[in-house]
Amino acid sequence: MISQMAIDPMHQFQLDKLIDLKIGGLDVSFSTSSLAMMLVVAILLGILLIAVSKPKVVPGKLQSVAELGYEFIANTVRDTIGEEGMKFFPFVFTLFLLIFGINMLGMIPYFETPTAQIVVTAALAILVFLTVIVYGFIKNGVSFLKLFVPSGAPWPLYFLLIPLEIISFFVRPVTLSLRLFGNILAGHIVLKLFVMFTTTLLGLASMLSVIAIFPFTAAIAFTALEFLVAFLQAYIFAVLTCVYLNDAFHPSH
Amino acid sequence: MASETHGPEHGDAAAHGAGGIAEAFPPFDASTFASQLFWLAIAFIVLYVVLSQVILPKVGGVIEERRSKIAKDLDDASRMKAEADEALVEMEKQLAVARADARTKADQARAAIDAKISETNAEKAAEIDARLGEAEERIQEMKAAHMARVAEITSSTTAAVLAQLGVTATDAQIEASSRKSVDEVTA
Repeated sequence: MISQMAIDPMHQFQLDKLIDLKIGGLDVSFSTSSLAMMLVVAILLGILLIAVSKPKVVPGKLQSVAELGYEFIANTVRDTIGEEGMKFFPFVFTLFLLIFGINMLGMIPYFETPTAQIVVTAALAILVFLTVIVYGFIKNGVSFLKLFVPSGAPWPLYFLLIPLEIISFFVRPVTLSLRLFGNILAGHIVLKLFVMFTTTLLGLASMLSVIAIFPFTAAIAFTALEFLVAFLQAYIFAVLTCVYLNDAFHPSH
Repeated sequence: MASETHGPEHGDAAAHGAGGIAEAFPPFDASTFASQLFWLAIAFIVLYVVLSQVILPKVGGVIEERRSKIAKDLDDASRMKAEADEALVEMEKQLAVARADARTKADQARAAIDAKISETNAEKAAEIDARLGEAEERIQEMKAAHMARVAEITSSTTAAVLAQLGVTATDAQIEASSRKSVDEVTA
């Protein structure tokens, strides 16, 4: 099993059960993925609770970081939706922080990366999608359906435009989940491959071992890139959430 | 490389048994979905509740507090600046008034002094003139007195000289001639 771990770049996405747990016949065992998610929540809440334990008008370092994150996401929400969109700020902030935290924890070797699991990203994307639909109907009633009717087009075009709008709307959770999933999955595979090349070449114990420097350098470069991707994908997810929520606030475009 | 290992891994999945949740492509292994969704829901809800109820209101509150404090300080600053500007204008006004005041006072004082000076000058000039006249008078007096004496001395001297020479002349003659010569000298 150890040797297989070393040569299979997919093995890192395999979840190991840590505690067996069943609720109503459903297998909800605590796995390495659950551990990663719980750790992320614990670390994030730990840092943030310390940061805001004694809030000061002139902030300390940790409080500055918390405020930076707050302003960053708050500005994204305000710029995309407007001031009324701030009621979804905790939602967007939670999504951003959870995805960012999971992505970053995944950068530490031997930790699971739940955002490289399609079911996790799909669940988050569907949550966003359903939130948009439910809030859209609550806020606008039936006129939320105007979302599918672009204004100002000559009426015969509607036979083409309305189906297109509907398709593009319903494809959103798919693209939203696959973008995050694919980016994190691919990044981890590439990293693993370069590290594997390096160890394999070093294991040859011949002159060829010298060229291990190339995959090693690439692994370092990709590690840096993956940190960027970890942040960027979380940010993209948050921005797109805002963009989709904006439709619920302003359905007629 | 990966395709080589996929083969044996299918067999391995059964071997893992309770130990792992193995599949050819682990992210698509449906047996882990329920567990992942369950723990994701817990993670999301816990994070959402604590963030929205505790952390974000605190952070937002302190940011708002800072914003209002800065706005208040800026307001205070601009109000104070306006006050200072006002005070400056007032000061300049008072300065101008004071300057004008000082100028008129200086002019008045100068005029007064000039008047006094010219008055004193006139007074002194008159006094000097008076005293000059007096002196002149006295000089004339003294001159006349002295001249009388000179005439007397001359006539007595002339009488003595004539007596010595044996020339006889009347006193009136002598007196007239000496007066005449004195007059010639003094004229």
